Amino acid sequence: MNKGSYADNTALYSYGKLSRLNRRRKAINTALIVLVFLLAILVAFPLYWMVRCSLVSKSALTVPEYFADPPGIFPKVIQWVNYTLGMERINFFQQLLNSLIITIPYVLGNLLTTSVSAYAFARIRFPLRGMWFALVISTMMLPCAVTLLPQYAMYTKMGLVGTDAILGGRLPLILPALFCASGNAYFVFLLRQFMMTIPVEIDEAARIDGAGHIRIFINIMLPLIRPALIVVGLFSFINCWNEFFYSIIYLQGEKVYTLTLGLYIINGVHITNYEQVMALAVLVSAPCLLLFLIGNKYFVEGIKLSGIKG
Amino acid sequence: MQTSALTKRSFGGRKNIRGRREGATGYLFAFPAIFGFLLLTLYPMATSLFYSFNKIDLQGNMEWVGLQNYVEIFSNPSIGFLKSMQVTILYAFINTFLIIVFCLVVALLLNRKFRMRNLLRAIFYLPAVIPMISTAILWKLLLQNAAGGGLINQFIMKVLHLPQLNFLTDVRLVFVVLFAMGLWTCGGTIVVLLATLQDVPRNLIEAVELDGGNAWHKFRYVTYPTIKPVLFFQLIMCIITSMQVFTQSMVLSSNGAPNRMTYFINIMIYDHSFKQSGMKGIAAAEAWAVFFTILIITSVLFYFQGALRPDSDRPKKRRGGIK
Amino acid sequence: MKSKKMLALLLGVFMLAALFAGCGEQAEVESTSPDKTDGTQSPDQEKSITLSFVYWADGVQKDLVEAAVATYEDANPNIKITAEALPASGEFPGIIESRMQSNTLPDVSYMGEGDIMKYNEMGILADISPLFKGEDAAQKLDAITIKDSEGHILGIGLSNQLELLYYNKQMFDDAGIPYPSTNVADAWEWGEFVEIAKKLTKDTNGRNATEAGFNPQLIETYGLGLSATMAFHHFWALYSNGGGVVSADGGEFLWDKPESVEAMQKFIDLINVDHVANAVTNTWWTDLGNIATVDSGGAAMMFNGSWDLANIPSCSVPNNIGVAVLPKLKKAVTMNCGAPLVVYNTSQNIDEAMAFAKYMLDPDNNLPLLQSGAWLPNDVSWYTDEALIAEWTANLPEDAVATIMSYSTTPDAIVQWPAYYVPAYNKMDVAFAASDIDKAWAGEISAQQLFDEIMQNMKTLFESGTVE
Repeated sequence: MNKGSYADNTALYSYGKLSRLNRRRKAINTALIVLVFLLAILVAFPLYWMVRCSLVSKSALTVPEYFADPPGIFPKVIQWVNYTLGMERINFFQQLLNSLIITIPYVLGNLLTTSVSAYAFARIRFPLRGMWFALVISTMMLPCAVTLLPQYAMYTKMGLVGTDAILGGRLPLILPALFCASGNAYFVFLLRQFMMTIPVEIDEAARIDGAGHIRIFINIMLPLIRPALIVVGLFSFINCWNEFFYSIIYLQGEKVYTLTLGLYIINGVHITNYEQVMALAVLVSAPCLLLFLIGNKYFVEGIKLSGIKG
Repeated sequence: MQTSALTKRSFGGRKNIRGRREGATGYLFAFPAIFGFLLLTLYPMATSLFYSFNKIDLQGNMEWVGLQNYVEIFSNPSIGFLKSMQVTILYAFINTFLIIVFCLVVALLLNRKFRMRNLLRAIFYLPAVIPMISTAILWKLLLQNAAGGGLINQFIMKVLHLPQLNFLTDVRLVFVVLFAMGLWTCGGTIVVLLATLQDVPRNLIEAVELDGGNAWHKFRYVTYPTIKPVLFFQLIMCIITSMQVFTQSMVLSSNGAPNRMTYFINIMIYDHSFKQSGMKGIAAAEAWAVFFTILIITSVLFYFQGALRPDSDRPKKRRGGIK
Repeated sequence: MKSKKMLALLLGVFMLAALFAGCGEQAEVESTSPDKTDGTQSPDQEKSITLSFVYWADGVQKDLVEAAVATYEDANPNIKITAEALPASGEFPGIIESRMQSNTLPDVSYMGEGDIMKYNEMGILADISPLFKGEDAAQKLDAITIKDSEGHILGIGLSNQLELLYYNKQMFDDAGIPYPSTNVADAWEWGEFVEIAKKLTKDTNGRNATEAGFNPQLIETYGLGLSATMAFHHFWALYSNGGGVVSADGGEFLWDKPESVEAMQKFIDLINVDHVANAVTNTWWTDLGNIATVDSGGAAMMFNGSWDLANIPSCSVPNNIGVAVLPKLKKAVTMNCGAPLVVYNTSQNIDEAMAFAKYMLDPDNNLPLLQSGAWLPNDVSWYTDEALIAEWTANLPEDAVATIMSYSTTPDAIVQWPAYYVPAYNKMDVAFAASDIDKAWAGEISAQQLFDEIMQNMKTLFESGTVE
């Protein structure tokens, strides 16, 4: 809605018609804004429901009276105890620790290796660079099922699987981050795009001063791509925290379960106590939500960076 | 390709040594990605191809059977391969369609200046960061039978006085649960499209307005062509991700109920690889069949996209064409 | 970055080695090699021995199992037990197989009833018959004893668990209906049961299923809440009608008999014809699970395993859950289940493992679990000896105890789950799950049609007599 163009058009429209047109446009605009607000409420409601269900008593959870009078949608009595009970049922802190033990090296490994690889693809000329880049990127589109069994066999042979193995068998979950595999090629792509927007002249200047690639990378490139690195870090964290498929395969003993796996198990047991399950679901989602709230603008930046270029 | 005169000159002078050192450095830096590709992608792919031609029993002994696994998955209904492919492809396409349309609409709606727009954008994106397992548990609860505490069914029965819907047990409705989850967590796509919309050239929009065009014309002639590459990329990624749906189905019912309607390919392969005995060879064959299907689907899509837009300035992701 | 490259180099070396090994004719996947130690942390057998024990449980059960383990450790200071709780049984086969591949099989573990035959064929289970020979050996219920074809005992159920009828007393009171009986002899006839369920099924207009104008599309509370329908949860009805799955001696295939079909159809009709039960699929659980729905009033009755007794104390309305015998079609029966305990013959400390197994199998050492109702005793004397009975039933509701005793003392009232004694059971189970059973549950096809489709194949699978 560019007011400038309206002014230009006054010669073509009579004032009355213009203001009617204007008002109609404004009305449609308002209606559309109201629509998107309604949609947002619809989207936000399940979040509220998750929290609500975690705070009610057991009978309020299943009693078929949400729309009675007074409506049961709002909890009458808030039961924080669901959280503590839920945490007692599973080894919450153990699982939290496990999730962190896996996620933190994952994020750090990812940051390191994807930035290094992206630099190579963006800045260094080496033979067959184009081919390798295409191959690495194409792994993004590979269904994980294809590599599942052999990877499992390979890791088992290396002694990395099982609760008695190194790191309790958590290593196979961390390794993809060290090798830009399992969808992490996405970050290589992202960082490369970002790097290519940085003028080569800066590299040139450093090269004249005698810096090699390593120096350029550490002292020049890394600081400049900091925003993109933050994005990679955030997204890596979320991907790893929420990982379920590989967790269910490689984590084979209670002492190495992560939070997502713990949540899955608690969902399927005989004594359900669903209100505690919901409380745990909220807890498991909490770190990601917190990260999101803190790093909101980085998330948006990151998605913009990744999505627009291609 | 970014080179400058300076680099060319320095390369030209002592090309061989410089070039080789450059090459070595390149490989050193790219080592994680390249080695990762070889170790964690290429080697497993080759091995799983090998597996798919074998019958692997409980102890892991292999027996070469050639194409028999492939024949069996296509001919033996109790393995469930065809049914699985059917439901997965159906789900992937409908899900992608719904998501793209929904995200586009929301992005267009959000593409105005109004207060709290960023808050709304955050709200739409929020569900995307929640672990899928929490999402699945939440939606399973929401769509339960009324007697089991399902809010939506209670609403339908008590307020609308309509028969309740058995979302979790009816073969026709169980996809609704999955679509609900998919649409709820598609915030990432919304943000991407929104950001892309902001790149739409204003002058062209104004030109359409001057020519007397309405919103539809603006969309069709200016907005759509601009966002088309991004939309296409999101479409492809959405199809590929949808085909690998796993967590939601595990939470709903790990065996694909009702009537194998949620027996998606990842569930099937997981089932055959780890839960049942002696079916690892078959699982590998299934994985490769799936891979080929995805290749075909994406190739077809790329072909159509290319044909419709011959002057595409975006290099294709997969082979060659890298700047 | 340097140490990372070192790690990468090491992995690369490993990978090359793996490639060389894999390119040959030998197995790519690990096979069991008995020379690797598993579970034992100390090679010195005189000092402390560590046993690895894998089980599944949650919440209350887990605490109780851990307590039992701790008591054993106290009593045997040279033995340490690493007890690991797994996710519920569904994931068990996968985990055992990967442990087999990495040679870390436990010493003792739970096992799925239907899996014992399978793992026995793989040759990893130990014969625990010696534990129960001799004068003072405990006599375990036959129903939960699993033997191989030569009569060696492969596993004993840790508990005996029966399918029972749970109901919401308040709802019965409000409708003026007398409670179901706890005596097998007085079990409801099926028609009677359906009538009562109809009276307890209400739609949103307040009408029950016997009244005119009842709208089955608007059911608010169900007479019968169905949650789990797999396997024994509905098999008992087949036996009750004179049919079944496989005869008790394992010789005769009963699943395709007309009585079995009829029973299946009657069960399914509860949903689609009588409109007293909610829609289900062939699964272990469809809804929030178990007596929570009865507790909240979403359903008036429920069929479920006796393990739900342990959930009664935590229900929101105290003393409102009643327990009774299942209705009968022709004969009042129930079916049992109860995960067995097995010992692995790959164990490095097989004597200690067997001793521990014997300990865990003794109801004396699991008293809290028995008293909570999660487990029922697996030992004959605990059903006949007055003092013992009083001990484990002290905290259970009276009607539950009466029901259990009635089933236990009436001959042939408990039918053994075929998983215990049919080697091909798992194959049949998989084929059943892959069939159109869900369509039958939805009423789209009749039970007869379904059985016509699949029973030929099922019979062939059964007659193969093998696990694979």
